[in-house]
Amino acid sequence: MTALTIARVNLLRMLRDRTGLFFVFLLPVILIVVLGTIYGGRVAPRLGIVAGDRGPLAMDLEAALRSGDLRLEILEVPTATELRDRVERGVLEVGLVIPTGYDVTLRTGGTATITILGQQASLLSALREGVAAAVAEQSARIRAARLAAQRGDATFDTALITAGDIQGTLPGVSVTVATAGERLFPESAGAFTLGAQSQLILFMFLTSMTAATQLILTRQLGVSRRMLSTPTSVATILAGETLGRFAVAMVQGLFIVVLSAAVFGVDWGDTIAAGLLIVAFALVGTGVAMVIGSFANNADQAGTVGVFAGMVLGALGGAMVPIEVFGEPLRTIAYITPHAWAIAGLREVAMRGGGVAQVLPQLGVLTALGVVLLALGAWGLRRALTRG
Amino acid sequence: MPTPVLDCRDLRKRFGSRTAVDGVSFSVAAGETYGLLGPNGAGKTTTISMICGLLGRDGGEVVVDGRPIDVGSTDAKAAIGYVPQDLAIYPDLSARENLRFFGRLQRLSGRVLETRVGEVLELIALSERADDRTSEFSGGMKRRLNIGIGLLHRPRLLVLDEPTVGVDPQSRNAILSSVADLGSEGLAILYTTHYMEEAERLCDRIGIIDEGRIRAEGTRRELVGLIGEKDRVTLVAGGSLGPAARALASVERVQEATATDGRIELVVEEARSLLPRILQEAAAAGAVVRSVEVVEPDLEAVFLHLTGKALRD
Repeated sequence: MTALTIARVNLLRMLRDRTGLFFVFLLPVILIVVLGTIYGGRVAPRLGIVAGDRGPLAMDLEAALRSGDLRLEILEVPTATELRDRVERGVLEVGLVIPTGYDVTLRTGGTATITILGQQASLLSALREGVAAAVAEQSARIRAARLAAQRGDATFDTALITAGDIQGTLPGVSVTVATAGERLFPESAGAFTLGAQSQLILFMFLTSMTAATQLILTRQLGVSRRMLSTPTSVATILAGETLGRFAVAMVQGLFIVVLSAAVFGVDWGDTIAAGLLIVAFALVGTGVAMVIGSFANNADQAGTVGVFAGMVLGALGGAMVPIEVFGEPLRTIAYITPHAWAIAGLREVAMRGGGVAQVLPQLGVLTALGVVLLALGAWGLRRALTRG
Repeated sequence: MPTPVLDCRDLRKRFGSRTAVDGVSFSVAAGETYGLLGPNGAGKTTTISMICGLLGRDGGEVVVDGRPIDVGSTDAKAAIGYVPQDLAIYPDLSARENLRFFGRLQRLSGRVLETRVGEVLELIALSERADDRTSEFSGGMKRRLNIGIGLLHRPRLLVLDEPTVGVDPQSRNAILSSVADLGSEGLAILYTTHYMEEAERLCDRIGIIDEGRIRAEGTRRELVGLIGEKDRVTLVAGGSLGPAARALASVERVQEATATDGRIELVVEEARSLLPRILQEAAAAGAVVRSVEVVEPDLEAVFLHLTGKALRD
């Protein structure tokens, strides 16, 4: 019970710290939203169209883009200049300019030039090619209709309709595009899943580091020694301080999990497996907090070391940029951090439907690391409390 | 002497090659205030830390309320109320929350805890600010709360480690009055200080500690007696000073009486109690006393005599 009293005070102090509340409750939400937007917050890529012509052929092309496999979100843009600007700024993934007189030019046998704009990135390049393919498809129908009209078999409009009807049934060259290697992110990943997973790990660790500073302050204030003057054993004080830091890490973790699930629809997968991973990572955070809180000489030192460790390990462990985009050597090196193990486990559970059995390696590594760090931290705190 | 509440014998503690406490022994009875007087670094806090079970010792024994104390002896610590030199309170909790927290650590709970928290808040005059965060308190208020936490569980022994360091004169005076009241209520008090005036004002007995050793121990009078110094009384007077001085020299406990330049200088034992008799004899011998000055030898002089250095060195 006394250990719970000490733990409760730790939690209460965290909730009293207004600056800390921003970092614990508000900042993770902001970052989840930002990362969700970057890594898939939108349902479809955006195509901007400057429609210089509203004729049937122009409308037909737009309809083809809307109904195609690309699943584009199509936005009208007033001018070509503005379209270029939006594409350059990344507001639009692809831009398409349908020139004035598009319909008339094509009907009269002329050549209409369509401009497609896109950035250089590989994903966007594929999208650009998809738009070009839709244009090429319409171009093929128009040529066929134009040929039929020239031979007097039908009017241009009738031939165009016929060409559209039979286009899909004609034999031709079939092109299949296949992805080489493992998919970067599984299709089941929701828009905010990546962001929520990485921010969970990043902030659970950083908040634990804040708790390390609290431990230093408790020591510096003399409160720890005063506790020792009461009928409270050293073991109980250690248990209370450890529980307190564990509770702080878990509050941070549960807040992100519950909020991301309720507000952003993040599916964390198997509850038990995800829960165990979060508990194991909380143990690691608690262990590091106890070690820093026991061995650092003052709160400034603990704060500096803690934030530095949190940011470096977070960056290296894939809590800032997804580990999947790392090159091979760095991806291997990342697994010296607990962050990488935790994120890998969460990915397995949330995106590939893994259960406890599938994340046993991650659970084993995190738990072992947590136990070692906790033992070291407890030893350090005992020493700090009783050496005078 | 009744059974002491605190009995420590031959306490020893070394930090590496440095001896911090070297064979310290003393005892404190119920209702007695015992002062450990010594400069910074004399070994006061180390001694207190061993007495409160905060620090393991290299030798000796501490018994509080009949039970031996060590770092691991949790139950026996319930008899001690420890008031550290640092303000050992949470700044982000209120006074009431701090009291509740330490009360629970002292195994108080429920109604008993709430009642004691209320009583202590009254005692330390913080009832009206009970729910304010202590970070908003003045230094004196924090000191009072620091002491209040030590009293929460009605200890048999109150250990105060330099409780007035860094406190303004008004708050300091209030703290000293509170401690004096607690002593008169039967609490055994161990009070460490490097302020001679505090030891003289509060303590029934004083142990002078330096370089980890108790150099001398006793009441203030006994300690002053160790160095053979007497009280000095100066009478500024007119009239027949020569006959008055001769008359006063024959009074019991007056060791010297000299008349010079409108004054009579006296060397006496226990001037305070003898002063009415001195004034009476002087008047009877024809002296007209206009003012009186009494100078008593203080513990500063005793410390200087015993250690060869000033208390504040």
